[in-house]
Amino acid sequence: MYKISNVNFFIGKRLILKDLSFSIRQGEIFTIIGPNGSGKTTLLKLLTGFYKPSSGEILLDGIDIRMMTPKALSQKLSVISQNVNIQFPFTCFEVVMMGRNPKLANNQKPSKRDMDVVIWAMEKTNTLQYWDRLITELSGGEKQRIMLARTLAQETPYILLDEAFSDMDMHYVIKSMKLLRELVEQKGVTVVNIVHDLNLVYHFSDSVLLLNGGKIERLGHRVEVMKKENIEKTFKIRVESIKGRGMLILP
Amino acid sequence: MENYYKHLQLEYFRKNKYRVWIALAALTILMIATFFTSINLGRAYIGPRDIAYVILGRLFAREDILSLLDETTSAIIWDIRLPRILCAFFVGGGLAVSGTIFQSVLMNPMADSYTMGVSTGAAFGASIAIYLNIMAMGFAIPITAAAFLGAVLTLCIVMTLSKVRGYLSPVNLILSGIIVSSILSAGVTLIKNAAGENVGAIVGWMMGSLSSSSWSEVFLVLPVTALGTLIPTYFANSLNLLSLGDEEARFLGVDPEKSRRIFLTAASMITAACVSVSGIIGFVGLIVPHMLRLVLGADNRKLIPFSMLLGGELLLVADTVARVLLRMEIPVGVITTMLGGPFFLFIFIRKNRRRYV
Repeated sequence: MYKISNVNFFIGKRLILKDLSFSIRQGEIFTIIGPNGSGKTTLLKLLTGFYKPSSGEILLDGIDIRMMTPKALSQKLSVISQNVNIQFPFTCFEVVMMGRNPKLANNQKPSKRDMDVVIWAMEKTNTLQYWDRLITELSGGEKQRIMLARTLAQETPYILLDEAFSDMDMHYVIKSMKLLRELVEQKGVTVVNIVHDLNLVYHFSDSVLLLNGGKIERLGHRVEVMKKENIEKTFKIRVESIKGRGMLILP
Repeated sequence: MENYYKHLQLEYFRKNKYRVWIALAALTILMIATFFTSINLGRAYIGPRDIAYVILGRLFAREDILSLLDETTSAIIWDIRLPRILCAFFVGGGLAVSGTIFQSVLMNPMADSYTMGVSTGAAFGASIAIYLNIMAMGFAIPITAAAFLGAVLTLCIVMTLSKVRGYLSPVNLILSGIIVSSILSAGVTLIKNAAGENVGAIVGWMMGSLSSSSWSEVFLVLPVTALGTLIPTYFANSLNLLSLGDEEARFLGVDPEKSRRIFLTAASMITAACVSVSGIIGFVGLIVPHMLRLVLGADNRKLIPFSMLLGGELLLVADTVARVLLRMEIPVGVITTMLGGPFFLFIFIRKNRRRYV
């Protein structure tokens, strides 16, 4: 469980996040939405422990996230950040195997089980046929599927995603979302997800956090937050709400 | 399906092992051949048997073996050619290893020791020493030590400058490296200008040559390069993760700050030792990692030790060519850059063709 209390975050003198307090329950898909520049990515980076809050505290399963070493954190949570750019020609298999690093000591050989987990993760994301190809030669969507496979291979109780499916085609977006749902239901994984597609948010979330200008605009059950008036006000667009089916965005 | 996985696992490891062993065997054979050819070539003819006698005699201190040769041959082999060959090998290997590390740490396949300003720092230190020696202060400042000091000081300055709120970023390192490097280059030019007629000594040193290598140079460059290769090889897995960036490294359990410090220190110490022994030798540090990545992939656990071998081999060949090709000696830095530049362009073009834009 995540417990965020009175978190402020400054970059220079600019206040990016203003006095946020909320919690994320175990075993739910928690989606963060909001307009560009509303602080979604910054909030996610605070949750990963990469940024330290200027004030306030973030507790992960009761432990202050600042007190955790990178190794301990990497066993708790796996992250896909925006625009990961790998410069060197690792094979896809090597990249997914990196997800096992938190569980291995320096120079420890991957065991049979590590191999099995990697192969399972690649099969789940339908990337096993690329195992030998170089990550630098894949297309954007294929790369994102490899990153998802690496996240699965990390086998962490928390998965944090920052627009991790943005370059995938619809088929794989939905497949990946269903995969996350499966993990939540079968293994009790907690997912924190930043998504722009409002329809996806409606169908694949439990709680939704609507962020605007660094403050919480709305927070609650997806049906409560994804209401016509909330969305229209925050995003300054026109939408048609279709009962039980999501949202139609009007030009 | 189960069988398919088993097959895949086996295939994966077999293919990788094959490549590694073939590369290792080829390099070893090539190295031994180059070693004997290089001692053999030169103005004085020296046969393979003489070489074996001198090495065995000296290593095991057996006067009876040494007495089989005349003293001139023995001196040419032991005091002139052997230290030069060892220097060439370890300087080349060292430059290649530091190139591999700098590229991964700075997340930039175009980086090498020049990008961080370390090499320029060494040149600056050496120029000051040469200048002061020319001015005859009554005592001679050792050029090697001055170059080493220059490189280490530059590293410290660049690392301090790149820190923003206690945080060191690759982009900052490259930027401050370039800035400090330009300032130091201007300094070198100023010293050259002040040296007037004696500018030749500084220019000669900077051109990159191994002609003044003796055992004392070997004893500087060998331990530094050996340690600087072994320690990073031991931690090479963290270097792999670090080459994906700070965030990724952290999320996969590596402390980026801590491990970057280890790698930067190792690579800079190697550079300092190499430059102080040989002057500026370009392109070895840039090309060797690229050549190896084409064959072995991006895994630094293989890249670092192989960089040592291939870099050493290449510079040894280049230095032998520099020594024996023409009647007068060509600076080896000229050869590596003239051959390395076009080759690098070839890799560059090839890579661009295979990539999505």
